[in-house]
Amino acid sequence: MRRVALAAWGLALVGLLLVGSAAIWLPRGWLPDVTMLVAVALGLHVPGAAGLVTAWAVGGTADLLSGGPLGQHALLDLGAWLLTRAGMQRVDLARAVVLVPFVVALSTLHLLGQWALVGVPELGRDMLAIAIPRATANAAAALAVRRLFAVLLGRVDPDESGPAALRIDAAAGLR
Amino acid sequence: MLRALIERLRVPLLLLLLIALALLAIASDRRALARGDRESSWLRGILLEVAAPVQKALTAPVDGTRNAWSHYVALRGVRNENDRLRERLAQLEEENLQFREALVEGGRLRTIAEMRRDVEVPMRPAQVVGMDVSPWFHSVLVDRGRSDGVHAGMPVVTEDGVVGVVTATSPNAARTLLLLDAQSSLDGIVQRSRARGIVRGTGADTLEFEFFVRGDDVQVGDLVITSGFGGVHPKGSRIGEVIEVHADPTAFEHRAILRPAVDFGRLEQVFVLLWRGPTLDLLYQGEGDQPAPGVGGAEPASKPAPASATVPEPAKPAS
Repeated sequence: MRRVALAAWGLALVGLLLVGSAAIWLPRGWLPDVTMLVAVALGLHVPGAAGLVTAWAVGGTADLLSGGPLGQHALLDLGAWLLTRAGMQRVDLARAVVLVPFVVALSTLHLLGQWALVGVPELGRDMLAIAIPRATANAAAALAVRRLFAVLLGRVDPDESGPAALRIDAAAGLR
Repeated sequence: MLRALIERLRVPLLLLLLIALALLAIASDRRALARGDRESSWLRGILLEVAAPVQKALTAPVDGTRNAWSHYVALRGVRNENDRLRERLAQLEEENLQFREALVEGGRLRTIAEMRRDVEVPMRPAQVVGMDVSPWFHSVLVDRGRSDGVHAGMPVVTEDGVVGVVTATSPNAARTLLLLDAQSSLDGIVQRSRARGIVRGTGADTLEFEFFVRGDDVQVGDLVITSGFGGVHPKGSRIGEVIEVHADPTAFEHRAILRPAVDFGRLEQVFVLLWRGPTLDLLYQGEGDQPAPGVGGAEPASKPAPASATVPEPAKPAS
């Protein structure tokens, strides 16, 4: 599970560096919230203390790479992980048709949570001009991140469910 | 029995601990920012050190293409612009001559020359290699750090005006909180009327200027510059132009909206002023983040360089 946690953190770090670079050329809000999506993927695949700590660490990394107050992403991504775990009890988040609206709703909650915690962004029309494309970008990227995460999980931990794990099981069956 | 209980409570206890740690970090970081001594932790330093070269490599190809295109487009209009600039230069030379004449007549030229020597500080050019990972915060990553004499609390400018202030450094990178960020504020004055107030970032593309009412002393089109009182930015740097004035006759404090002097959407190269105001310098002393030699204190530098001059590149070690 440690390798899974480390791989998830690595995925988040690479995503953050890409977002930080691409933000120079793209309008604000057009890029997804990488750490929130990784926290959702962690919620889908990594339960218990390992998932909890990794989601917090992934958010903490975003805090260290951002100009915002330390701790806010850590707390919000922890919330994303918890809500994903809770959501899994009620709906099938593995299905794209469920995951996409869930991520949009989570993006809204994330925004409100941030506003409640640090007072940023100021709620209003300017905020919507960034929040709407951001929620859309999150929804579009959620499926890709989930898929990437499943592949990564299968590679680093064959015991977990993932394409690689399925391949190993199938091979064992043939033998 | 006890072991089973601990095992059952492990995740909830861990959750509470992580929430408490995050809340504590938020509270302490906000307090540090209010005090102005938000220097980087070693962990943030390591991440900046990793992020800067990677992001520089990622941005280089697109920057190259964009620059090549803009140079081509710029070349097409260069003749017209050249004529226009020659005309403008002639006008300014004439104006300059008139001002000098007036100053000499007033006997103030020497005083002003001495004053300029006091406020001029060396600066270090830096390239913007990354933006904030969150669209709600305005900060940039630049490719200069402590090894170049860049430290937290130092002002960052361009030729157009104030950009922001360095908030975190590593040996070869620094994070700069932009003026637009909602956490930013600085003391400003209206150049024309000398009306003084606080300029705050709004988190959007404009700035807010809160000033005390003293007649009709802030108008649309006025230029707001740094007052030098905040202890971070030297006096006289451009902040922005007034585009709206919200005057409430019942209030003592009025509000104006400013368009920043710097185009933050096209921030590529900036200059870090190798100087920290006396207040910030006192805060950092004894915390292992001493300013570069000859930098900081009430006197910006013992032998100040001209404002237009930049510090030469440090000698590269022989490979």
